[in-house]
Amino acid sequence: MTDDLERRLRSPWVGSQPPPVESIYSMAPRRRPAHRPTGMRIIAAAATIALLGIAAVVVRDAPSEEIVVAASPSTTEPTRSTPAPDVDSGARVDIGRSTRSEHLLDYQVREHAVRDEAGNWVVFVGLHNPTTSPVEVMVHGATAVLRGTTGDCPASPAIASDPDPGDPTTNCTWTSPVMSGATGSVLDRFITIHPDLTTWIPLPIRADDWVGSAVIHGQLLWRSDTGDWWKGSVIVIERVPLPSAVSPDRGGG
Amino acid sequence: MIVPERPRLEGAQQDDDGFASWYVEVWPRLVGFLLVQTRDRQEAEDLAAETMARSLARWGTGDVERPTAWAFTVAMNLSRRSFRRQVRDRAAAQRWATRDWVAEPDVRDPDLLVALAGLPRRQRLAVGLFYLADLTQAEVARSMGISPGTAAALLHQARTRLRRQLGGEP
Repeated sequence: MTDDLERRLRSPWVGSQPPPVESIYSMAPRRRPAHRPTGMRIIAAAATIALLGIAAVVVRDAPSEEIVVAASPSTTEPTRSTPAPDVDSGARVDIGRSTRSEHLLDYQVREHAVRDEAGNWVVFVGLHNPTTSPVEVMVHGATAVLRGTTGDCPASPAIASDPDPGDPTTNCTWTSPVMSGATGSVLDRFITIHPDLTTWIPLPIRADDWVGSAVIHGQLLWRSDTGDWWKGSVIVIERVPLPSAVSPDRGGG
Repeated sequence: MIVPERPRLEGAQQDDDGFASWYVEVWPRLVGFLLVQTRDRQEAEDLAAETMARSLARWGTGDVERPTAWAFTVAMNLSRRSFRRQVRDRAAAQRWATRDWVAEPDVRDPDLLVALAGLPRRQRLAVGLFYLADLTQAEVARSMGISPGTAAALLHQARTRLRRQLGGEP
């Protein structure tokens, strides 16, 4: 009997077929390099992340220095934004590596954005943590591709395409970084989203003189208490007016 | 609007390091282990996938000497949380009173699983770690945070109880 029990215990108790290993790769945290410093890890991550995040910002004329995007109320106000009415309750965003509810955050974009001291437009993305545990997130590798619809194309080494650089009515496209660090934003470093609170993350866009539309590339990353981190969702901001009062006269090639 | 997007699969590296073959080999044992702990097939497979994802994150980093043992320890910890959640879950409590959870065609030995699931939780864990993860008694003790003597006693008690329960089986 002992032998029989031992045999039964040692054989697999079920014959479950595993799901494709791709599903594990898709939900796994990024591999932690054995002894690579954090900076190297972030640089390595950026190359991959640059391929993923995409956010769209439609820029158009507006009467004031405000960018209007879909928004919803907050519990933590960004310091330099204008109070806005509720427009959209926002979507729930999966920032984790599975569909488990504890890895979800509620996402919203503030209706009004502001100019910072350097003249950049700052869009605020609010992340609300509905769980009972703090999570750490980062908006990483963000860039904005601006598409002009009026005025001139800005003088920028990052111009991606401009079919007629001297034509003030032409369409043109250029890429601008969504900046980090220098403007005091919290991009590119992890911030803690505490339970049942909304934290606003500023996204400063170098679109000072620009009138048109933009696509922003960015990615949410999530870090667990073990230090592992995962790629999360892509942000899409759909409509943001820029003021017509600012003349797009710095461009022209 | 945020568009969820999964990380890209880096296909070329999928089994350069042996993870995929290890994954295929260990998966059924891990699911069996977790099934006995949770009595919930979906939960068991979810936790197994979670365990595998964590294993992949450590794979090849040099952090883990024995990946199978490490994975089962992770699974054990995950199942503890699951157990606490199930205690609060009436539906889960009802499942414990039935054999529905072993009514899957790939469950090879339902009587054994029912008997295992009837063991006290620490005995269940010890048996799973010892027989499925192939840990030594000392390793079982270390994984469970108990003394080697206690681990040996748990295994002995579990075997005695299983023999008694399965004694009439062919």
